[in-house]
Amino acid sequence: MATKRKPYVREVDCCWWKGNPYYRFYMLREGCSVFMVWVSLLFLLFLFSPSSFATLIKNPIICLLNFAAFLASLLHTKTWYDLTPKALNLPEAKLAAIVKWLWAVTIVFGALVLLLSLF
Amino acid sequence: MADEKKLLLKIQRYNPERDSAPYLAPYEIPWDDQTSFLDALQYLKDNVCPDLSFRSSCRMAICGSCGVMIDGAPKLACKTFVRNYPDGATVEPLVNFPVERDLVVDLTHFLEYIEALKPYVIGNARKPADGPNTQTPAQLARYHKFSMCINCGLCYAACPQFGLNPAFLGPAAITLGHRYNLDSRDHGKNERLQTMNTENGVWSCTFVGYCSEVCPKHADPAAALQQCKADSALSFAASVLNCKKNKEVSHGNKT
Amino acid sequence: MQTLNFDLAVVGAGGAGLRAAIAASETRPDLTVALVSKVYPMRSHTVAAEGGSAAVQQEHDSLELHFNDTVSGGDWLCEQDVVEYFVQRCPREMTQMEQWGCPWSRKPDGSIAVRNFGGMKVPRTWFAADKTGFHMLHTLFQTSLRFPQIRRLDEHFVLDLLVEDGRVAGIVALNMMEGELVQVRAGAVVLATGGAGRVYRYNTNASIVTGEGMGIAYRKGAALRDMEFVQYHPTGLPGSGILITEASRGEGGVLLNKDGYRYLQDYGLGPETPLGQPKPKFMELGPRDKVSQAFWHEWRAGRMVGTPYGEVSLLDIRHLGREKILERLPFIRELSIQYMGIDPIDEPIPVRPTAHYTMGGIATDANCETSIKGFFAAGECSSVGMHGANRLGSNSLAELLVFGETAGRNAAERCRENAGNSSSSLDAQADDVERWFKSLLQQKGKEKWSAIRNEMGLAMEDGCGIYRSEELMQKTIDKLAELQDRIKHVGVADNSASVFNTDILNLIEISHGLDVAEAMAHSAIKRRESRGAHQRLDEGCRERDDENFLKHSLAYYNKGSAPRIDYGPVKITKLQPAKRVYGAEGASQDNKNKEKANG
Repeated sequence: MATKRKPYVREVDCCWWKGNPYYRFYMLREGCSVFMVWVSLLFLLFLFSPSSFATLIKNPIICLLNFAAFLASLLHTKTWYDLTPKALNLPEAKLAAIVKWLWAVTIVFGALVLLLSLF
Repeated sequence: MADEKKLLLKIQRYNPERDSAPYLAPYEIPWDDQTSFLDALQYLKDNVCPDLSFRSSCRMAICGSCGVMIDGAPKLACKTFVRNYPDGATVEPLVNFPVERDLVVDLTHFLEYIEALKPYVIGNARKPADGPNTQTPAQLARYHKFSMCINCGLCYAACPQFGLNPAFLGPAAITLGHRYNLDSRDHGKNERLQTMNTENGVWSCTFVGYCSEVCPKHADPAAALQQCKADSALSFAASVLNCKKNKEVSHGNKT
Repeated sequence: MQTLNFDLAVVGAGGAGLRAAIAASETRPDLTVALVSKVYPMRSHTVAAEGGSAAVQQEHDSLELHFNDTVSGGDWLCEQDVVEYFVQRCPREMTQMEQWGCPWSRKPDGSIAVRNFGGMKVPRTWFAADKTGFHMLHTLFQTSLRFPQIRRLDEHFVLDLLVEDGRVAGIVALNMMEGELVQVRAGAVVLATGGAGRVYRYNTNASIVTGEGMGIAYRKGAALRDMEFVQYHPTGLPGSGILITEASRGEGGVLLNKDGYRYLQDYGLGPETPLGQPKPKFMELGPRDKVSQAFWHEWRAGRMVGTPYGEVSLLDIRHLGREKILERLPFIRELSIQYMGIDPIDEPIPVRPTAHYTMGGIATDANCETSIKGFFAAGECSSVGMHGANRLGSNSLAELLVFGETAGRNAAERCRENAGNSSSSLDAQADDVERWFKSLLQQKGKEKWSAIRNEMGLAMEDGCGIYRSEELMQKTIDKLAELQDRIKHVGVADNSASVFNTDILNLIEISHGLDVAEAMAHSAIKRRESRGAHQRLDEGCRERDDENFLKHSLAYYNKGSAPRIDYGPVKITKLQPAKRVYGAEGASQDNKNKEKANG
């Protein structure tokens, strides 16, 4: 006997993420990777042609771009650290402490690198 | 009642024997502070359109029947209150599932994925005559959160990866598998990891994280998936090491 | 019509149905089992049970004490041999659940924790926080997935039984998604379809608890036993009826009237126990019938708190403290916040008695077999005789396991005995069902099933509530007869659709509900005494009358007219009927019995 069912399948369009703030933030988070590509390219340039790197980096547009990359990496770090507790099956109290430690280590390490590079 | 408060709901209707595609139909419902969306749907079925089809059972957010999209977000109709939508709302069937009729979707795959993850105790030969296993509150706490899943399917409607790839085993099924992996009474982790490690297993998850956001029971499927990824990576590493060791052993035997 | 062949068909996939299917598969692994349910197993009403499941567990407890509590709790209307078997099987079943992965709450050393429950002398209620039914149901469902021989027919609504020569031969069900009928042939059938709480308007039950399982068996000639005994749970949320578990009192919660007074002490449950020190069988740990009846008296005396959703008493658990509430009663807290806007950590929860449980059901013998050979019943739809006139809290989850297992095991033995049914005769029966179903789809008229459901619910509350009288019961009976007539004129609006047509299913559910409600009302009016959950206010019926009514009522279906009410004997083995007392009087009775026993 022929079935009377006719399941209606709703297609997922390419803009699926636009309507929901949660998805938009997810796309933003994943979008941070574009800046990581940019920073990697910059480092490659430094490796192969340190002199052009030195000139390029003073360009105001490149400065802005790098500042944006810095913000993106901060955002990505934050989301990454917020994710960490999910991957660990530990009591709540311990997890909060772990995230605090991660930030502490990041700040100390960042300050050290900054100090070393300045002096 | 003259002072009865009214609200406009747009409800997606679809009768496969009559309609070529779903459409939104407007309905007015009376409400008070206690009225849930499930109450509103039942009001309509009782009084306005007896041919409206939706699933419901416990009306207290524990059976998982009444998942729907309310203004585009996956919700349990019984646990979502009309009072929070003063300008009206749109009610649609859960996305990422085929629509069979009105608010009823096809859950067949979802059930198959739950089965595929073998959510039961494996490899424990204890019999009732031996008495209960010992399990400390700390051991219980390791998996307790993940045992809260009511199989409502909201997390599947929240998961864009499942939407793009319906073969993805998905949040709830993997959470249930993980719940048993973490249970001190179970010894089936390696068996389950074989399913979790496949292409449509844990690695299809890109940690959107919305599944945990919409979970009405705070079972935190996103966490389960991340932990499964860690388990999966470790088991891969172990298998590589084992492989090397085995090779060495077999070489050793030959010489 | 499609025909499917199985050795065994289990109808209903809640606690009892799942347990039966697993038991059958373990008893005879070569059997094929159909597990048929109108909802996915996880949606079954077992999921909503909160407090726990009874089984003797502690050193200072004994099977005899559990037996005594159950029989006296049931006001001596229990089959005592069945209760004896039950209490003996409970520990094994609870342990089995543990080994299947049920996350029972534990003591710090990792052993099983138990809690107090109403009418139980010793703490013996196993629990998984306050979601015991949920965890049990999911554990059973998940465990059932281990058995490939169990084939689930999810969202299949059973319309009728196939019976030939007094033997069951299968069922006819509607595949709800396809809108097609299916004939499921089986050598034995286990019915585990739950209760009929939805024949009352205000109840704790899921919308699926409509009683058609009982109704189907009843129309096929099986007796419905002890149907007049319907339990009112003392603590449901006003308006919705959502259950607030008895465990909140087991953990130490107290019931207050509008003056903040613990009124239970005035109703044979006192003296008052100190706050935070609950004492078994005293005060808030009295049995449900007594606690609900006390509410009724206080309400009549005008000492309850008025709300837009009716008069309520106050359930105060604040003194348990935040930590204990979060550990032991998290779901209660979630429900109060969600549905009442009240956080029980800071404020008492408004509650009132609400219809909860049908003690009666399809009459079975101690093996769970009904008068139709090969046809078994287990769980709330059945009356194996263990609850008597009032069920104790936490005995019903235990019942699902013990008698689900028993029914499954016995049905597995039975199902292969039956050979050589005439296929054509069964086809003819199935065709009759199909004809009836198709004609019902086309039924025309101005009545609405929703109106009939609402009027039935109100009538049952009025006539068969906590307290009953001849006059009110008669009014209910008359109303039900009127509704029986009107339901024939319900117009089916969704008459052309096949796929997931719930309009027609609601009508079928309510029509069975009406039959079951009639069985309740007629059994009630004929029982001219007060016992357990059946309390009468009319002259000459206010006391228990063992001389005339220490017997089970049996309601038989009479097409087109009132049910025929008959009676059957009660099996009394160890515990002779005595006065049913709680609180101080109960304690002194216990002491006297102990002295007597010691000579």
